[in-house]
Amino acid sequence: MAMIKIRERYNKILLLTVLTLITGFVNAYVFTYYPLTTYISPTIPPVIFKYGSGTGKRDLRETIITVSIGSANTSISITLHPTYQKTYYKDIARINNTDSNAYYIMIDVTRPLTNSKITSAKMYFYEGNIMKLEVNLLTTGRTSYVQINGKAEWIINVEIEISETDGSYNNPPFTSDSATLKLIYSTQNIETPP
Amino acid sequence: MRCKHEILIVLLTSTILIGYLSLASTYVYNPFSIDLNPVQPPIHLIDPGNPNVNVIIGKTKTSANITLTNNLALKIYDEDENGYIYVEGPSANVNLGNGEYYEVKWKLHITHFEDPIGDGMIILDVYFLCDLDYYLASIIYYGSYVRAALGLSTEPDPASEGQSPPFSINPNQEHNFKIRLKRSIDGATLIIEWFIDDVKIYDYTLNILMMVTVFQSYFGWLNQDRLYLKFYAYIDDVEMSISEDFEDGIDNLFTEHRTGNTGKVVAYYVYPQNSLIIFDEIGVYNVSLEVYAIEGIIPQRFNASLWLNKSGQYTQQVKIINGNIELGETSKITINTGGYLSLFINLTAPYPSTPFTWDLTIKSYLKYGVNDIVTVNYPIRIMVTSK
Repeated sequence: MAMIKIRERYNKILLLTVLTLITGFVNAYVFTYYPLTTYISPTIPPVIFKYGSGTGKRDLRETIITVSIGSANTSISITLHPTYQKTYYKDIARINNTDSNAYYIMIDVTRPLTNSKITSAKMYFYEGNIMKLEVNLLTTGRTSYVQINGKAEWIINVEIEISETDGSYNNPPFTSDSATLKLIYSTQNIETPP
Repeated sequence: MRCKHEILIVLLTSTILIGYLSLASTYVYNPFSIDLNPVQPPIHLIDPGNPNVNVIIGKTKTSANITLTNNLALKIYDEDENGYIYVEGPSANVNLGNGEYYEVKWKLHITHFEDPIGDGMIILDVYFLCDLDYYLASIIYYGSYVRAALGLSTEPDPASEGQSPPFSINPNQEHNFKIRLKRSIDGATLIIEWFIDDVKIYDYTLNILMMVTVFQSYFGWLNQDRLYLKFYAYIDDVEMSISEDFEDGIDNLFTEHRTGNTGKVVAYYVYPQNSLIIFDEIGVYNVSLEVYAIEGIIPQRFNASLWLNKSGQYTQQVKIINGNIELGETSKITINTGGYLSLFINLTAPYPSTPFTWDLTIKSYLKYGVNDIVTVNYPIRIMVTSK
C-alpha cells in the first residue's frame, strides 16, 4: 500500500517536471534577422481631377459654379446652387486617366446629403454619351468597380431634386448641405478596397 | 512516385505565388466633396388670370396645374392641291340707311397653311352693291401677315380698287377679323373699315348717289380660284346680325361649295390662349417646354400644339398628332431680368357622333437653363375637361 502511494507521488513529480521543461522550451524564443529594404518611389498620380466646361460658369441667380481642385489634382470640392424642383448640372468637373493603362474606379459616399427637402441627388459619370457610373448622394456606400480606360476622360454631371413642400418662392429651400466622397481607384477589381 | 512529388511541389508553389500576387493590390483614395447652397427660384410661374383657363400655381411658383375646357368650332379644311372650298353665310338683304352700319366678324385661327404661289387666301369678305357697282371687301391671309382689299366684282383682282400695306400677325394665334360698312349720317358716303384684333388697318370711302345694299351679301371664305392651297382653319365665334358658337355641335349658318378633299365640320377646339405666365426675376435664361407624356382618355385624332410666346416672338411648337408626341420640345427662347413669356396651348379633335367626357392630362416640363450647363425643370400638368 505504501509502495503504491510512493509510486503515485513519483508520477506526479515526473509530470510536473515534464510540463516545466515544455514551458521552458516555449519561452526560449529564437529570433532570426534577415535584411529587408522597402523602397518608396512616388509617382505622379495616374488618375486626376480636371475642370469641366461648366466650371466657373454662371449658376442660378447670378451665382457661380465653383470647383476647387487640389494642387496635385487629387482632391476636388464642388459648390452648386440649385433651386426647387429638378436642377441638372452638366460637365462641372472631369476625371482623367493620364496613364496608358486602365484602372478600376469606385466612388465611396462617406457622408451623404441629409436635408430632408432633397428628394433625389445623383452624380453621374459619363464617357462621351455612355454613362459609366451613377452615385446616389443621399446614402452612404460604395459603387462597384468600373474600368476607366487608358487616357480616358469622364465628365461629372449632378442632378438635384428639391421638394417645394413647405417652401417659399422668396426664400431658398434651405441654407446649405454637403456630401463627402472618395474616388477610389485600383489596378485591379478583384478585391474590395480596405 | 518521385514525379508525383515534384508536381505537387510545383502546384503548391504556384498557388502560394498567385495568392501573394493577388494580395499585392494598390488602392488610391482621393477626397471629393460637393456642397449645395440652394437659391430661391429665379423664374416664377404666374396665373395669367385668363377666365377660360383654371391655373393652380405651387407654393414656390415652380409648378403649375392648368385646366382647359374644350369649346366647339367650325373646322374648314383643304387637304389636297386640287380642291377648293367656298363657305358662305346667309344673305343679309340689308339696305343701309343714313348713319347705319353693317359688319361681319369672326374669330379665326389657321393652324396650318400651304401657299406655294404666295397669292394668299380670302378669309373674310362681304359682298355689297353700291349704286350700280358690286364690290367685294375682303381680308386676304398670307401666313404671317394680312391685307385689307377692296375690288369690283367685275375685276379679277380682289384689290382692284385698293389694298392696305401688309399687316403682321402671329399665325400661331387666333385673331379677330372684322369688316364694317358704315353709311355717313348725311347718306353721301360709305366708309369701309377693316380691323384686326380691333385695330383698324385700312379704310376706304365710296361716294353714294343712291343706295347701299348688302342684299346679295354673302360673307365668308373664298378660295375657289386657288386650288393649290392647303389649310386647316377654325372659326370659333361668328358675330354679326346673327351669331353662332357651334356649341350644339351643329353648324347652322354656313353653306359650302367644294371639290376635292375639302370640307367643313364642327370640331372640338381649345383656341390658343395665354395659359401661363413665366416671369424672370433675375438673370438671363433660355426657356423651352418639353412634353413627355399624355395620359387619360385620348380622343381619336387628337391634335395639340404648345409654344412659348414673347411679345411677337414665339418658339417652334410642340406637336401632338393623332395622340402621339411627334415633336416633344419647343425651341428655346431667351428671357431677361424682368421679362415675361406666355405659354399658349391649342387643342383640336373631331366632334364624334357620340360626345364623350374628356379626361386628358398632358405632362410637361418648363425648362430653363444657363449656357447649356445648368438646366432647371418645373413640372407643368395640363388637364382638359369637357364643358
